[in-house]
Amino acid sequence: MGETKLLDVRGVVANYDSPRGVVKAVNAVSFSADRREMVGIVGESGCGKSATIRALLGLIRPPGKVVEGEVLLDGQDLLKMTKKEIRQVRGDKIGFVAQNPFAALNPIYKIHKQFHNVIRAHEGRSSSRSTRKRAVDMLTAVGIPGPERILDGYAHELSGGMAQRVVIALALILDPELIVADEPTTALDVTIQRQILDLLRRKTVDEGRSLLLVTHDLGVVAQYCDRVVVMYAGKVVETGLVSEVFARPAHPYTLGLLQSVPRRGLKVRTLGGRVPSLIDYPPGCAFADRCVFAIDQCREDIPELRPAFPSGRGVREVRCHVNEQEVCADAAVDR
Amino acid sequence: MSDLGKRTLEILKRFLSVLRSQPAIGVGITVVLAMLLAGFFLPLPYSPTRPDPLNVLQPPSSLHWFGTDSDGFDVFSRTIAAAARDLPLALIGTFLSALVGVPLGLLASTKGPWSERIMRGLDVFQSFPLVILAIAIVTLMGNRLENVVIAILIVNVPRFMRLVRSEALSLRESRFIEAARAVGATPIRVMRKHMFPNVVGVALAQTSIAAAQAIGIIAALSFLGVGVSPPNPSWGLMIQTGVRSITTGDWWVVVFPGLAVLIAVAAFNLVADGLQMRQENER
Amino acid sequence: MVLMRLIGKRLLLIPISLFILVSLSFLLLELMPGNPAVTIAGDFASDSEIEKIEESLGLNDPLGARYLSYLGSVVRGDLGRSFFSDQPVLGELRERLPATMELVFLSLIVAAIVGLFLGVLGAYYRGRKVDQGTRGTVTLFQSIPDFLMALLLIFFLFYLWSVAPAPVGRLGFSGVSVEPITGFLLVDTLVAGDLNAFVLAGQHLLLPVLALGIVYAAYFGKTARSTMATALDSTQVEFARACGLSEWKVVYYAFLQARTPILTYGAILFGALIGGAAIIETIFSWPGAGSWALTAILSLDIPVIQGFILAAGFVTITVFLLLDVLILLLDPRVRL
Repeated sequence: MGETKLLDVRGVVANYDSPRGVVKAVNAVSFSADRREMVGIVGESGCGKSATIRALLGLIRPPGKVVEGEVLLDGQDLLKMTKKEIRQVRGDKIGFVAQNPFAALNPIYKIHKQFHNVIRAHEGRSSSRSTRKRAVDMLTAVGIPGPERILDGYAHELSGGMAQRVVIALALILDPELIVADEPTTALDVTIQRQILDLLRRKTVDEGRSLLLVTHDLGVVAQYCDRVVVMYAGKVVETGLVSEVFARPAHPYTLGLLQSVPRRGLKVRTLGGRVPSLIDYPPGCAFADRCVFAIDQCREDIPELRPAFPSGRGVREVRCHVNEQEVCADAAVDR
Repeated sequence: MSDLGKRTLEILKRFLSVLRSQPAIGVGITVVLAMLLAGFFLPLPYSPTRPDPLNVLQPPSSLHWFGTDSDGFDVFSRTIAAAARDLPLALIGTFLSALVGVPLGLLASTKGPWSERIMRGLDVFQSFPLVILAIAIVTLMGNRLENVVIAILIVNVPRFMRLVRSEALSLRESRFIEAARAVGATPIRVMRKHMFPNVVGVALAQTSIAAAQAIGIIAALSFLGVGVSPPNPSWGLMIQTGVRSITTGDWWVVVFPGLAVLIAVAAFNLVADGLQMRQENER
Repeated sequence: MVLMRLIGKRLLLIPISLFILVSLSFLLLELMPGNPAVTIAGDFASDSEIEKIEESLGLNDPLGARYLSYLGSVVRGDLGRSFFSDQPVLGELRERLPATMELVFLSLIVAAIVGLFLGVLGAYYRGRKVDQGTRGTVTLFQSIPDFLMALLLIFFLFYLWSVAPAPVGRLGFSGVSVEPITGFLLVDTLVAGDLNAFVLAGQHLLLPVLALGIVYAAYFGKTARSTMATALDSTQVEFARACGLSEWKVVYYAFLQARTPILTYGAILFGALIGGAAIIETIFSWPGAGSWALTAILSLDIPVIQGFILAAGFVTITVFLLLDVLILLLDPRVRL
C-alpha cells in the first residue's frame, strides 16, 4: 500500500500571526493521495483547505508559517527542502490551478511568453520556437481551438473557460506528477464548470497523475473524486473513498454536509451555528457546539484522527469520539 | 451616565486602543503637543524679539544653548517661540481644510454629471506646483497671517475633496449601503450614519499628511519672506537668516530651526503612517 | 491604428487646455488685489507718478479689451514684457526654462531610482525589520523640507568636506561659457566636445539635484512601497511562484502590475518638483525659470507671472500626455 502513495501529508501545522492573536489555519492536517487518484478536499470557507495546499507548495508567506509536519512527495519531504529545491518542485512535480484564471495569468505578457517563462525557469535556456511548439501542443491537448492565435494574444481577450484551460495547460506543461487545483471552477459559468472538471479528470487520473481538488461543492466531489478529505476549522475530520464516505459517513459534520444538499425524496437538514474562531479555539472538539451527537467528552478532549469502519473498503479515518456506527445509522434513517 | 457621556467614553476607549495598536501615533501626537506647549508656556532665557547686538554669531554654549545668529538673537528662544506661530497656523489651516473639504467631498460623491466635471477641474490643481500657488496667493492677497491660512485652505481643500469623494464612491458600491437604502433610509441619513464613520478614517490620515505638508509650506513661505513680520520668529525665517552663515561654517543658525521643522513634520508623518498601517491591518 | 487615434485625441486637448490656462491666469491676476504700479513706483512715489505708470502699462483699459489683446499677443508668440526689466518675457523664458528643466529631470531620475529601491525593498520584506528600517528612512527624508536639505548638503559637502563646488549658479565663477543649443548644459557641453565644461556643469548640478532628489525620493518610495506591496500579495504573483518562477522573476511580475500607478505618481511629482526647484534655485543662484517666477510673484510683475504659469502649465500638460501615451503602450488592457 505504501509504495503507491504519491503524496503523504503528516501532521502539518501552519499558523498566521495576526494583530488579534495566532490563527491556527492548518491544525495537524494529515491525509494522503495515491497515484492516479483524485482526492477532493472539502469544507466550508475558512476551514483551512486553501491554506493546506499552500503549505504543500511552500506558498505560505509571512506572517504565516509552517511550524510542524511532513509533506512527502514520492518519499521526499517538501517542508524540509531549501528554497531552491522547492522552486524546482513547483511546476515540475506539482502543478497549480488557481481559482480565478484572470487573476492568475499575467495581463501584460502575451500568453506565449508566460509558457516560455515557466519552461525556462526549469530547463534553462530554451529556444522560442521549441517552447512555442510545446505550448501549442499543450493548448490543443486541453481543448483550445486555434492555439497559435491564442499564444499571440493576451489573457483578457479570452473567455473564462478558455482562460482556465490556459491555466491548466500551464500547470501541465512540465508534466508534473501531481496537480493541485484550488476551487478551479468557482469563478466559471455552470456550463463551463463541467467541461473543466472533465478536462481535469482526463488530464490527470487518466494520464497517470494525481489530483488534489479543493472545493466546497460536495456534488463535484461525489461525481469526480475517488477519495475525499473533509476539513473543519483547520483540522481533517474524515477521510475515505468517496463511495464509502457518502454512503456511510463517519463524522457528524460529514453527515450534516450530506444532509444539507438537496436530494430527491429526502428531507433537507441544514447545519445550524457557525464555524468557531481559529484563534480562541474552544477546548475539545471544534464541532461540538453544532453537533447533535456531542457527549461530554467532546467538549473536553480534542479527538484524535483514528481508523473507522475497519471492515470496509479502503483506508477510512475519522476524528470523533462518537462511534461511527451511530453516525451513519442516522444517515440510513433518511433513506 | 448620560448619553453624551457614554458616547465620549466610547470614543476615548476607541482612541486608546488605536494608540496601543500603533504606538507611532501616540509618539507623534505627544511630540506635537510638547512643542505646542513649549512654544506657549516654556519660560525663555532670552527675549525672542529683542536681539543682543554685542553677541553676534556665537556658537552654542552654556550661555546660549543654540548659539546666536547674525543679528544677535538667541537661537534657542526664537526656535521655541516660533513653535507658537508655525504650529497653530499649520493646525488651524489643516483642520479648516478638513472641515470644508470633507463635507464638500461627500457632496461631490453624489451621482450627477456635475460632480465629475468639478473633479476634473480640480485635477488641474494636482499638477501645479503647490508651493508656488501658496506663495502667489499670500503675496497677491497681502502679506498677512490670515492669508497664509487661506493659502493652505486653497491648496488642501481639493485634496480632501478628491480623497473623500473616491472613498465615498467606493463605499457607495458596497453592500451595506445598498441594504440601508433598501430599508428606506434617505440619502442624507445614509451619508451621516453609514458613510461618515468610514470616511473619517481616511480623512484623519489625510489630515495628518496635510498638516505635515502645511508646516513645510509655511516654512518655505517664511523662508522666502512671505507672510512674516520680523522680528517675530518663524522657523523658515530663521533658516533664511542663516543661509549666508552656513556657507561660512556657522551651522547652528540653520540647523536648530531646521531640526524643529523636521521634528514637527516627522511627528505628523508618524501619526499618518500609524493611521495608514492600521487601515492596512484592518483588511 | 487605434493607438494613433488615441494619441491624436490627446494632442487635440493641448491647445484647449492651454487656452483655459491662459484665460485663467489672466483672470486670476487681474482679479487679485494689489497694484503693480505702486510696487514699481516705490514707497515714495506721488499719485501722479503712479498714474503715469498705470497708463504706460495699460492697466486702465477695460478688462475685456485687455483680455482680448493679451490673447492676441499670446497667439502671435508675444508674451509681453516684464514690468521691471522690460525684457520680453518669451526671450527670458527660453533662456531660463532649460536650466530649471535640467534640474527637475535629473532630480526626478534620482528620486525614482532611490525611491524605487527603498519601496521595493520595503514591500518585499514588509512587516519585517528591513521594512521598518526603510519606512523609518523614508519618513525621515520626507520630513526634511527641500531647502533645508539643500542647506545641509551645502554645509557638509561644500563647507566641511569640499566635495562640491560653491553653490553659485550652473558653472560657478569659472568664467566658462557654453554655446546654448538645447539649454541643457550636460547635453550642450558634450555636443561641443568640451569635457572640462561637462564636468564643471555636473559638479554644480550635484548639490541641487541631490537635495531635491533625496527629499522627493521619500514620496516616491512611499507610493512604490504600497503599490508593490499590493502587487506582491496578488493572486498573479502567487501563481507565478506556484509555477516555479524564480523570486527575481516574481518580483518583476509584481513590478509590471505596479508600473502604471508608479509612473503616474512620477508625473505628479514632476509638478511638485517644479515648485521645489524654484526655492532651490534661489539658494543656489541658479538662473532658472523658478527663481525668476518667485521674484516676479513677490514684486507683482504680472507678465512674467503669466508667462511662467503658461510655461509650467504647458510642460506639465506635455508630461501628462507623454505619461498617457506611455501607459497606453505598456498596458495591453487599455487598448481595447
